[in-house]
Amino acid sequence: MAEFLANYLPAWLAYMVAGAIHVGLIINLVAVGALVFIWLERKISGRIQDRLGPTRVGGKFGWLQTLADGLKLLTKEDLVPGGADKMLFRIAPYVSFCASIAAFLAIPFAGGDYPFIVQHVNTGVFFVLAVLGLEVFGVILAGYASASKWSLFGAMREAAQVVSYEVPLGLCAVVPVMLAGSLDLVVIGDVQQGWFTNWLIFHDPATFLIFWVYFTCATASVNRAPFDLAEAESELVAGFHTEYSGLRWSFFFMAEYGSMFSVSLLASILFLGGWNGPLPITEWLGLTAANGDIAWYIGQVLGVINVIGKAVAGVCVMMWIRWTLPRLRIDQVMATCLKYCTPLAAAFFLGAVAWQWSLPGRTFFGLLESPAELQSVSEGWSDATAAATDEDEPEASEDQTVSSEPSRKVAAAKLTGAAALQIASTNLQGGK
Amino acid sequence: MVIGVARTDFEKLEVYQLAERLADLTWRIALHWDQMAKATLGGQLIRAADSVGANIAEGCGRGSYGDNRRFAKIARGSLYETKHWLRRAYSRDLLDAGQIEQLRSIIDELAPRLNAYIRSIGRAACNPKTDTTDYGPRTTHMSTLVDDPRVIEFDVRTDEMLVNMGPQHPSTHGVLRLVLRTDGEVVSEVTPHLGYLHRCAEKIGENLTPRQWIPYTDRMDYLAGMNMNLGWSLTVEKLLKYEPPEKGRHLRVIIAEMGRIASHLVGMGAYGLDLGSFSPFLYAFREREKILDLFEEVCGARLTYSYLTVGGATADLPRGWLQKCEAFLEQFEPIIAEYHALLTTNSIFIKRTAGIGVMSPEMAINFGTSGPVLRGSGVDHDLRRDGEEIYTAMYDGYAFEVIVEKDGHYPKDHKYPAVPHEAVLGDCWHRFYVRMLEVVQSIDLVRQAIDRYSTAEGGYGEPRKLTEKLPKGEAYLETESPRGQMGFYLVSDGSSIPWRARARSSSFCNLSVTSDLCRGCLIADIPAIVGSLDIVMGEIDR
Amino acid sequence: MSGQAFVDQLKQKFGDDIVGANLENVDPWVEVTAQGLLAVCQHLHDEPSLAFDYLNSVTAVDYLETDPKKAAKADFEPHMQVVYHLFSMQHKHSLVLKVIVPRWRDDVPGQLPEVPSVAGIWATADWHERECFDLLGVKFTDHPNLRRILCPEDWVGYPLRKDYEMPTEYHGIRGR
Repeated sequence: MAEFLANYLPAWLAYMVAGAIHVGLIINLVAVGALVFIWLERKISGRIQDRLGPTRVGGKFGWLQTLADGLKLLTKEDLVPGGADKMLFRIAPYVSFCASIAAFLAIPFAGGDYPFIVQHVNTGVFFVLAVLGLEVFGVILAGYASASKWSLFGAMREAAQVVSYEVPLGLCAVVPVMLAGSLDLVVIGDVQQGWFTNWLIFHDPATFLIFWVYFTCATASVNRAPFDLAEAESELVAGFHTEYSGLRWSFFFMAEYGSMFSVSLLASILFLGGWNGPLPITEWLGLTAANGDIAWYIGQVLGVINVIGKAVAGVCVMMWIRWTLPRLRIDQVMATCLKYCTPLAAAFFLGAVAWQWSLPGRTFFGLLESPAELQSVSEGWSDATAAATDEDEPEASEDQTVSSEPSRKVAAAKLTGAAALQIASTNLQGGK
Repeated sequence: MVIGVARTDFEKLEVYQLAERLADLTWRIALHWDQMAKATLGGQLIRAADSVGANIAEGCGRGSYGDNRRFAKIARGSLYETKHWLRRAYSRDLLDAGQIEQLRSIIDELAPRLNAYIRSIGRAACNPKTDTTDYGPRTTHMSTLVDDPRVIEFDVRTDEMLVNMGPQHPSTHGVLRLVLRTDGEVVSEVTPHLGYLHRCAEKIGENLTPRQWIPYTDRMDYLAGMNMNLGWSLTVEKLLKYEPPEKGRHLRVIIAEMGRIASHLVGMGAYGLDLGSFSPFLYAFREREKILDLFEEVCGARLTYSYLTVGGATADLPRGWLQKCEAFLEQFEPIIAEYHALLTTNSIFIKRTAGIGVMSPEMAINFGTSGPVLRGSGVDHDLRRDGEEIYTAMYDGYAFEVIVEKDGHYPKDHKYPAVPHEAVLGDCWHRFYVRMLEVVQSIDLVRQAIDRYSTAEGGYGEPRKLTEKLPKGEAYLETESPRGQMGFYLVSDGSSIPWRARARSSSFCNLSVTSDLCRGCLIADIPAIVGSLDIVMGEIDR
Repeated sequence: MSGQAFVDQLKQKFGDDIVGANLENVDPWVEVTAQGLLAVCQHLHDEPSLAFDYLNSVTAVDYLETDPKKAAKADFEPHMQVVYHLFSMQHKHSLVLKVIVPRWRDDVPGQLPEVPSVAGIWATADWHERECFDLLGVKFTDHPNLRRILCPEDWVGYPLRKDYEMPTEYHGIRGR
């Protein structure tokens, strides 16, 4: 957008205007997202618990309930406890909220040559994970500044939990990075173009399993039940936000829903094909760049709907879990992370590496369609001549992919130059 | 102890004491100067030196951190002024070496302390180790003071913290207050504080006739009002040597066991809440509402019934009620499997409860625990079978087994979920499990009672006269209420109003084990343990 | 556990510490002196044929007729009864013990009557004796933690005594 605006405005102003528009969009996305999610959470919890949930506000389904809640929160007194560190207490919710929003800066909503993204960062995965980790900062500030022991307990728990869960979360995110050969989320998303069989979750058994580890760790790192120890209401009253009221409290809430949304978005891009649907509908309809800008744009918007839909589904699963399971204890949460998630993530990572090394560029479904190829591969492997696999496999597999899967052929043909290059290089590297 | 706000004992401040010494010393020195020096330097010096202490004291009395800090800073200014005048006095040969030494020692100490004092204002400081008496809300200010120059840390010091859990806390089941002494997440000591719901029920009982006291028993264990009514009625009947007719006995069984189901449903749901699982609570309340609907039809009230009373019940069961009750049981029984799936056999639930708060049978007996808490420890004791004649007569001929792990297994009259291997007899899981099984058993009992009630002859038991004179004497009776053995003690001097009415609460004894069970557990285990005791504060505080 | 034989047996063992018994009441009771209480309780708890391992309740009853007209007709002298209800899990039998003490020690108002604490034998007694102390003003000697339990620590008076008068004010809250 900055380039477009630069035609009419000085470069620096164009950049700032573009930035402002982007940030405005993102804030709206998070805020409206939170509104929808809070309403959704009420509805889902209501249905799970044999209730109706909100029904009155805004007519049907009580869809304006969150807005009414927001208005109520606006009118509440902004309390600061007497013993609190006033400055830190006041800024803590903003720190959390900003960190939660900042993650969206590098998350693409549609890919291709001109991806829908605020700032195309070629280390997107790294950026998003790093920024998500910042949210804990606000929580710790809140707990520390509240001058309440319950808040302090909550903050300490959160610190311990988030710091530990960053490790398996990172390990899980490395697998798609390795398979796509890039830290760029746009590339990772584009790699999975075509049928759902191209999604990285179905790449091989290891990625399928590691997706669930990722989801567990993501739930834990955004403090959702059964890992919501930082605000465990039955133990710590309300944990780190015990002393908060009104709008400041709602900022924490929005930050929580924002991070839920962003980890789900990340999951959908890393594992679930991102903007690429289960079926290559955009190609069928011809909504590609080849058919003009408008067709391309419609295709992109469909991609945005697709990726957001997957993320919302992920959020719904988190809600479902929350209203079903009891809460773990802090030592059990840490044990889950250190004894189960981290080793599992590491093992599946190795599994994915082994798959990639033995069957470079091949997916699980690709193998199913040609058992003969599997045979030859296993024979080739038993020969145990690294040089042979090195030379034969990449070519053979690429031929196989293209010839055996018509849809994939289309996909490969339409791949953008950069991404295609990346995939090729991945396959080559995988071979070695 | 909180430094700053409304501190009135400024005399105890070290800075103040030093300032006093400085002021007095300068006075004594200046007293011996000549007229000229006194009038010029001396006056200024003494005014400045006096002003140090005066400002500290004034700041203390102001009652706000801001004022206090401002005045302490003025005191620091005065101290510097004092220094200036002393330097002048020294350069004009008004001070001798000994005086200089004395003054310097005071000023050298006072200046840094005054600085530290200014920094410390507004930061509440408390030391829980030495502060054992005052658990008041003000001590909940935590120490955020990190850079106190007087403290030199040689090692990483972990301090214990006193935390008030309750009386306003989501999982203390009402108004229980637990004072926790914690080291991080580990709790080293738990002290329960009661009495926030004390309503002098026993004193009231000394001023009302037994039937008039029935509504007050409702408000003891307000989750099982029917069973409270029954306990007191039977106690009075024991003293009266009155036996209700057969139909009335079966009616009481129906009502009491339905009350037990309703009460255990709340216990089960609330325990889910304590462990962070919200949905079972609403599932439990959904079913409980239906029981309350039935009770409402019987007596017009949904919580405080005053239905069972001395003599029998205030009214017979309405027509068609038994069918509704049976229909409810029919519909309710399969739902129990859902509760087992969500809680009893849920692996996180087992992780949170199995092996936590293990109570040996000896300890359970020694502490006088009763009900599911006692049976969860494997003590085979249920007053419905082992109680006094007048109570067990109600259950005469009923087929039921006491829910307790005997010879390594629970009763096998129904298909119950298996005991997980992590569970230890006497832990939170077993207490919960006993409660869940008792619900099934109560369903059986209600069904049997409905059969007997519908075939029994005679009246349902008319209430006795409100002001009937009681025989002289005293009677004590315990009944098996959902939470344990609820005892009532009635002393009569021959009039219609008891001389003494006492309620021995089951939760009261059950709660008394908390300190011992919670020693050394984690904070998250406190709700798990206290919740497994299933207390109702209304009954404890009476 | 209420027959004459049982009482005789106890009398034989503890002599004058067993003051008397009432076997006609609905719940028969045995009366023990304050001095002999501990030994009797220890015996009841430890003796295998009795095995009173469960203490149901400890409470007290204040006998004082405040109405002067009725007091003239009352058939008792003002006194305080501390009542223990015991039960045996093993034998499923129960027993009532009573200790009769003056309302005030040496009849000096304010001096609480003293009874030895049985908290060392049954842990139940810990809280029950605290409650009894709190509401009726019986001092249980050698109790590990004899503080008020239901009333606030700074409460004045013992509410379940017959001559108790509600304070007119407590920390600014009107009482009457």
